Amino acid sequence: MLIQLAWKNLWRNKKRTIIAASSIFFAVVLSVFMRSGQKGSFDYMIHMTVSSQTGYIQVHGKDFWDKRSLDQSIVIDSKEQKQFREIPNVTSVVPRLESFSLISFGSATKVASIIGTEPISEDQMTRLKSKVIAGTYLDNTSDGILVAEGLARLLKISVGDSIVLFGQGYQGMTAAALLPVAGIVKFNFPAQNEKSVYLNLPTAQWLFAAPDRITSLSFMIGNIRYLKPVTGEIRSVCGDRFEIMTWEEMMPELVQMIQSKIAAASIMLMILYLVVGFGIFATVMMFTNERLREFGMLISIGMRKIRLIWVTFIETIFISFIGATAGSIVGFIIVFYGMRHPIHLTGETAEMMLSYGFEPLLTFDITPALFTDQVVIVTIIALVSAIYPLMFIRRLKPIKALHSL
Amino acid sequence: MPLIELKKICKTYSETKVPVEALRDVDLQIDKGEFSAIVGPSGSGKTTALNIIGGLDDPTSGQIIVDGHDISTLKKDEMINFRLHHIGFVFQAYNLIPVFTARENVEFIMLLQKISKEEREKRAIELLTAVGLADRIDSRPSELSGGQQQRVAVARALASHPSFVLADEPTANLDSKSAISLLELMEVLNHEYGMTFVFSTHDSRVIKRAHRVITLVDGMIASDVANNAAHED
Amino acid sequence: MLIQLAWKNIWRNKKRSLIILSAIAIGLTCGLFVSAVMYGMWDTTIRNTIDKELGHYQLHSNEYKAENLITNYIPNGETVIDSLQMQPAVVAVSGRTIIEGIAASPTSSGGVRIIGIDPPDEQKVTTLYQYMKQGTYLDTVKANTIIIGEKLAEKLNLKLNSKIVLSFQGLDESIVYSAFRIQGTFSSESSAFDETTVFVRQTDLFALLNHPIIFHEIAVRLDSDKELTAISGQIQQNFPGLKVETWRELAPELNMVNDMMSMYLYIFLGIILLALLFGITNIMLMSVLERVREFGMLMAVGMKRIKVFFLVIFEAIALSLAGGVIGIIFGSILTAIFAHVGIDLSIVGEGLSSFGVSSMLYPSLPWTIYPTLTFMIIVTAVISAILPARKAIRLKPSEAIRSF
Repeated sequence: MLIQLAWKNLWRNKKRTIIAASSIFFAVVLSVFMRSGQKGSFDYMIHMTVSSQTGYIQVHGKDFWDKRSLDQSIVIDSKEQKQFREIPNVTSVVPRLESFSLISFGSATKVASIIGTEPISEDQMTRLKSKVIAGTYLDNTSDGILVAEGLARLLKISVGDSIVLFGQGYQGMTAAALLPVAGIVKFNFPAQNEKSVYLNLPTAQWLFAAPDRITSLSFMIGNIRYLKPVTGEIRSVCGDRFEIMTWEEMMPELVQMIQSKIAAASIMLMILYLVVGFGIFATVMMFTNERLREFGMLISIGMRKIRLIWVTFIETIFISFIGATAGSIVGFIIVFYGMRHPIHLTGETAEMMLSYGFEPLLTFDITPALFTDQVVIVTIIALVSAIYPLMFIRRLKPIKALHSL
Repeated sequence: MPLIELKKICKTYSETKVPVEALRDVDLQIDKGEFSAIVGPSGSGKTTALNIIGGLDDPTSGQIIVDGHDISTLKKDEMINFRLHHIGFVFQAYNLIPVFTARENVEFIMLLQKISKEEREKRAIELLTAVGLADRIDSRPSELSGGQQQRVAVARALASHPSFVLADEPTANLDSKSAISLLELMEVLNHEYGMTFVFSTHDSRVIKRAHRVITLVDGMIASDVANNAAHED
Repeated sequence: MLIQLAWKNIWRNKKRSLIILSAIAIGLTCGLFVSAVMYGMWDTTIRNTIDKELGHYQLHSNEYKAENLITNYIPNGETVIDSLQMQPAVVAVSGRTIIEGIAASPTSSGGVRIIGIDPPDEQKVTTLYQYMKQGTYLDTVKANTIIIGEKLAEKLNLKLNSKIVLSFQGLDESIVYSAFRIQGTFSSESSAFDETTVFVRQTDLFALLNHPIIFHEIAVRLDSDKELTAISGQIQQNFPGLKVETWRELAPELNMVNDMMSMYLYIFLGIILLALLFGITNIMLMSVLERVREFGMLMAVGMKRIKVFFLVIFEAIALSLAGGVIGIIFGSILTAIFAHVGIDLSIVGEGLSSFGVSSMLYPSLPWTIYPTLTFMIIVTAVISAILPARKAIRLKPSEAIRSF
């Protein structure tokens, strides 16, 4: 019955209650929208970045990450590779032998990144086949290579030409070969587009005098939340012989960037809630002051102070939670819609994303933490705001209240 | 020509379920220099009558002519302007702007009339002195007694050089001493300066002093008598 | 006079006004400071990039822009440099030779960009020499010295005075090898740069190539950023065969972020103001409702409705500006303090350096923020006052002052 009273009291001044609740509504919707938009973007960004380079998890030689040379290459036999592929939630496993050398065609020479890889699984991970713009893709039967479009343009290479690769191989052996170009591939990322050359793994292993050796084994997983379990499984297969790194360890800059963006957004949202909290406090305060006479009357006729305090407390909770609930619902709807229909971005933001090789989409994702956070914050606002009526009623002297104008 | 003329004024409030006929077919004339009271029990329509004379409310039918103007045809903002220049008001309460001093309250009206600063300041002091508050010019309403506040209201009402002053229950909140004091002031103003005063009241102290008493009952004029006893005082 | 009345009216209910004032002040102080930090971060990054690598503008041959081959050098480089040095506003000019090659150590090797410079000239244009971590900048006396990034030294497992072998293609298509001694290592706070860039003396380079010195890139430092577009446009006209680009064109991502930064700032502050709008509206609404009788009296006594309307609007503006000014002052003071002292970000981690973001942060704000923010505050106040102001004038005076 107290609750009913509280509810009815709120609606005595419709506009005021709606405005107060709207401020929380606004903050909640914005929070939900921003946070899930961020999560969606980050997951997308992570996925795009890891799929084009390192994979979510990588197994490689113990000093490879620092030294990056062929001397840290490892051997993983086919039985083990099969075991790796069979780990649940692993979508692709790509063995690579990576180094670099000079490549030369005609009178021009350039430094290139040489990536020896297994054609089918490489395509599973990076969709390399879809980036072929001329000629054919790699296959295991011929030694034809793929040259990145920027590089091909610089050296004036076309499909069918043979180019010279020249560099340092495993354990200091000279690496030199003349190989035919099977296809040209185009990447969005200029750094990649101007430096990459792909060989199938056997050819690379032959070129660098590193038979059966690979520099890395990269893993893609179905969803980022499987990262820990899959890493654990990988470790149980290969034990301590190699180094296992997750994308977070391989790309700390990405982690930093994401964290700093989340931090920035969190700070902004905190300031927002702070401001909204002030507004609610002020509203509750004024509402309380208005009802001086009413409170005086209620107490004189016998209502215990504690009950009155309860009523005002419930009113405060109601104001906050109407806004928060409405905000959560609307936020939810927007996010669900956004999850199915990512928003297409335009303008400069889109251009920037394209230059990084990302599609200009705004994607969303949700975590339960998103909603629990809102609930906590809104409750805090309600509690703090309720302090004023609490103190007010405690200090209330009924006689003085009744005689006030 | 009468200063205020009501011709066949009817006012019906239809907002409630049962429409209320506050005034029925009222004819009234008030001349310049009068010191008259409109009296009657609650529900008699005296407040309505005063509101209509003051242009605060429109009659449902009939004509009201003030100072030669037919004010029933005026639009809202024109009406406000008319009141500014022609009518002075003294209400029962809430006459003054609480954040302004007595002086500022009186000057405020003249400011709305766009009177020059010098003129305003001079006149404010004059008027406040005339109502006996020369030493309280810079006090705020909260620092003045009820009676003093009403005096300031009178000074304010006079500041705009109105054609007449409309007082709605001006003494209702005052104790006897202050009430009488206020009435004496207004009588003096009426006698010395010829300012017309129209009251709406059921305070016997006011009625005793009014020179003319118009009694309303159930929305119609029941009697309209000259109070010769008061006249002679 | 209306304004005077508006101001006095605000203080009728001190507690209430103070609360909303505090909300505005605190909201804006935090907002401004956080914005300053974000803005300062990018501003510093941009300055750093210009100072350490790019210079204000650069010239390349048109062919080089299309294909950065060693053969696409700037014809008559020396003459170009001389003429540039005579231009007004030019502080220094540096000609660079850029060759891509491989740097190798006994244990490892990596692809690098070999930049041949004239150390004294280069030092006047860029500030990289201030970022030497070990050893010294390039010597003008000793031959075949090289400076490399710290990251590269780690990767190749090399130390000061170690030998590093560079191999690259010469102008006559032959491959050139030579050993250089590491004179010093630098840390530019962009680990990508550190890992792939090495500097040698032009004289050494061309001794190896057996060729007179040629330049692929000329970098120019001006005394200020101001006339950049005008100046570079002028230079382009003087040298039609070359491509002249300002740092904005050379690093469009930075330029774009720069523009976007301002926009984000205003959106951020706008959101805070929007949140405040609700609070101000409610406060004004309740303030108006409390004064129903007074408004009725004012309109009865002769105050036109439009004036009453503006009275309420002015009250909202006065309230908001009072809080706003306090917020702006405190926000600016906070920013100024930290701009002087700097915020040390190295606690956050070294990841930032791979973005070229330095670890010392100096918050700053573009001056345009002050007038724009003030304007935004006023707009917010006006919008929030509209509803309450309309309520105030909708009252019928007769109802508002109805006797007891």
